[in-house]
Amino acid sequence: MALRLPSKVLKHILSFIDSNEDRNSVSLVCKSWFETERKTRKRVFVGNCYAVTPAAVARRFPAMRSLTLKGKPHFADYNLVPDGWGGYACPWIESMAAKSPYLEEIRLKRMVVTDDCLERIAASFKNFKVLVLTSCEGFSTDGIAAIASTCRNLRVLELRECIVEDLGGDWLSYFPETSTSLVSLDFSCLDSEVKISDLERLVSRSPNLKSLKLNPAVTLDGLVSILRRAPQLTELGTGSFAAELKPEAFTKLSKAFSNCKQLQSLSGLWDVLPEYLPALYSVCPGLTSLNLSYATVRMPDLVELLRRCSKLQKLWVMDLIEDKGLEAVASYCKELRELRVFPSEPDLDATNIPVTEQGLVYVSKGCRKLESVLYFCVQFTNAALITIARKRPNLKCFRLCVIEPFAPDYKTNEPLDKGFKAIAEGCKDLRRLSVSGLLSDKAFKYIGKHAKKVRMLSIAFAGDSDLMLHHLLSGCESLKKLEIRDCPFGDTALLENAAKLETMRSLWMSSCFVSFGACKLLSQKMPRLNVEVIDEHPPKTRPESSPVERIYIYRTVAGPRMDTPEFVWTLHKNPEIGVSKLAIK
Amino acid sequence: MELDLGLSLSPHTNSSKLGFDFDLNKHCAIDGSTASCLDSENLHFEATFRLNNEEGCYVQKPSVFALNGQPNEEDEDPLESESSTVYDEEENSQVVGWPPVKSCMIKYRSYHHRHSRNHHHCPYHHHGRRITAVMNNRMATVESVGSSSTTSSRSSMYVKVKMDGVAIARKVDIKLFNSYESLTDSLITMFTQYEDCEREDTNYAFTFQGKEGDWLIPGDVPWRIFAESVHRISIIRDRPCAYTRLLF
Repeated sequence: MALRLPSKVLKHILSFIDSNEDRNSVSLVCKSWFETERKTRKRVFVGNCYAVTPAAVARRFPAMRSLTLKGKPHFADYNLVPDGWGGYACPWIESMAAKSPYLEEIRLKRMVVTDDCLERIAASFKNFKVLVLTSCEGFSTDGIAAIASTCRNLRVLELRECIVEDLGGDWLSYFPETSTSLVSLDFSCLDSEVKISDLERLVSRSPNLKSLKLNPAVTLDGLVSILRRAPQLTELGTGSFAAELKPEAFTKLSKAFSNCKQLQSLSGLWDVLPEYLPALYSVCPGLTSLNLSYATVRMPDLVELLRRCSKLQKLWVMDLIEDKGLEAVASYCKELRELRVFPSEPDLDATNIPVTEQGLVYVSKGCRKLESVLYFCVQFTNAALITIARKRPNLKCFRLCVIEPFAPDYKTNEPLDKGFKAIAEGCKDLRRLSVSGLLSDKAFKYIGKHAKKVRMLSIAFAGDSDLMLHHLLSGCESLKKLEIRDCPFGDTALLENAAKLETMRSLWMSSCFVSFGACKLLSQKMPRLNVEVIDEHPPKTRPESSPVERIYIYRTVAGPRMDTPEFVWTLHKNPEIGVSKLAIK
Repeated sequence: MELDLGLSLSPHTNSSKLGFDFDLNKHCAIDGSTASCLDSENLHFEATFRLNNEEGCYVQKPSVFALNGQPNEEDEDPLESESSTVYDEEENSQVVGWPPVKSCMIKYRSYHHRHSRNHHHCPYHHHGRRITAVMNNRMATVESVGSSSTTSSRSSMYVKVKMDGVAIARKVDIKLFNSYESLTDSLITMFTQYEDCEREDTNYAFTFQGKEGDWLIPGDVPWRIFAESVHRISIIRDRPCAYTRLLF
């Protein structure tokens, strides 16, 4: 056959292709391309740990060096997934230990990781370099100690927002006594104190350390002493920022920061007292990322800080910034790409509004590079959404959380349909969208029609009828993840669009109107979907037509899972309810 | 993406291809006058939906649209009710996971609530502007305070001010000022007033002593930190005035 690329040449070409989406496309061309691609893929990403078996992954990608896995559905972050649902890392680690001993990097998100698991990682992968656990749980500081002591080539150890059984700060002393190869260490989610002397010595013998995120137990004094030993840091998460207001302490802190000439990212700042903020002024001009979401700093102080951050690209802040503060951000932070504004009080109401829609409008007008927004506020208007869409057609991620459920446009009392229509139509590159406020059928018709590139869609407290879900499932071509809570969507739309579900990673629906009968039907007809009903009460105890609490549906080539807890009902587990059809791998 | 499932479900297909056990068309007797949807591609869907409800072969809407997943006994159609009745009957019931903020953030918010109350009453918010008048009256020898380390509000904080060449030190209430400038201006005014010096032709160098004993230059630290911890102030002039020469 003419024009057949020798595999060596193909291999060389593929070595330039990093994106897994591209590599997936390459694998579909023909068998030989599939073979060459799979043998050269080093970074493997599995978006749903139940979509495929660990053995299958290990078999397909013998050259795997980096594995990223995600477990629980996203809404687990907001306590909507009961404990014990699943997402266990162990079977994966076991499998990789046996088949991919050259694995160097493991990144897990929303998974249950045990100490045994961590010890297994430490023992099995000789060249282990990177461990990043995001929103994980199930392990203690003993497991961390095992990693620290055994993985001699460890470069990255990051515990991001994990729930860890904290048995004390000893784990820090388990790093090897000789110099370490640590580049990044993040223990910001741990509660207990670490010995400052341990930390100081670790930092001193880690010449490559670039990123360090401390936990709140580290005091300002501790921070100063660390900064003196690591002025080369590019990313810093401070500890607690509260202390006695002594001029000497302030001067020391200020000097320590001014020596960190390469600092680009700053976070932590728990309990920050406004009086200490000026100590940060020297690093502000170089900052590209600032996370103030734990800093209850109020207005004039915030502006004083932010107006010095002309290179800022990412800003996470609480709504204490107020519209005024956002106006200032719009004029000083011209490089801003990502803005997140979090609520300072869980129960905001109309009498207590720190930020309004105007704040986001300011930033949309002033920051030309803005592409990612997460904004919490009490109420919104269509006019504001229309302006935002017009000014920022380059938005890629737009998540608006109008805290008041079903809140209409507070000026016109209409639903926010027109506003979200403008967003869907205007922002052609939108990848991620979260909607809220009062929304009717129409809004979803527009979204279905225009949001062609949206991959992830989150909906809460919206809707009139099943038509809305139908619009979304039949319209949004690129939809991969759909999560819905408290909407009157039900069986019809689901069953009508069953095929769509196989083109998506997952669908979550909670407190909607989906019946067990429909789930059963779907399960029978779509063997390559796992349809999980998450409900306290056994399906037998209710009529088939009554709604279930939550459903989680995902495509899989691994067949039904075997580790479901008692509150998860699947057709496989309960064959007496219907015909069970096991998928053949 | 077309799926070869043998089902080929697509929203635009006719119902005959649905492939489910129930053929919706069998039940279908679409009454054109009841179909309110204008869009023809949705006509079939809407008719189906309405039909199924009429036929009763699909899900009954639950009695109450319960947010926490617990079905309620009442027979009210929640979708017609006001948004205020969305919540459960009990006033304090919170909706699980709403607003969608991660638990690690909520953990710290409550920490802030418990521990940051006192920060809301910091003295620097209440600095008065009535500088000169009060100063002229307040020469009482109130205890100079410098030992308190909390940010609780205090009504006054007197600090000894010594100008070189002047025998008698003065005391000023730091709480009356809100910036270094206002403080230094007033101090100069005070001393020149009482010491009969020329204000314009001297340079004044201010230093202050904090709790730890170090002497610092004003401006080295932000005003608020200074105001909480200053113990003593010293003023040095580079040109002594006539009156003080007389003292030596």
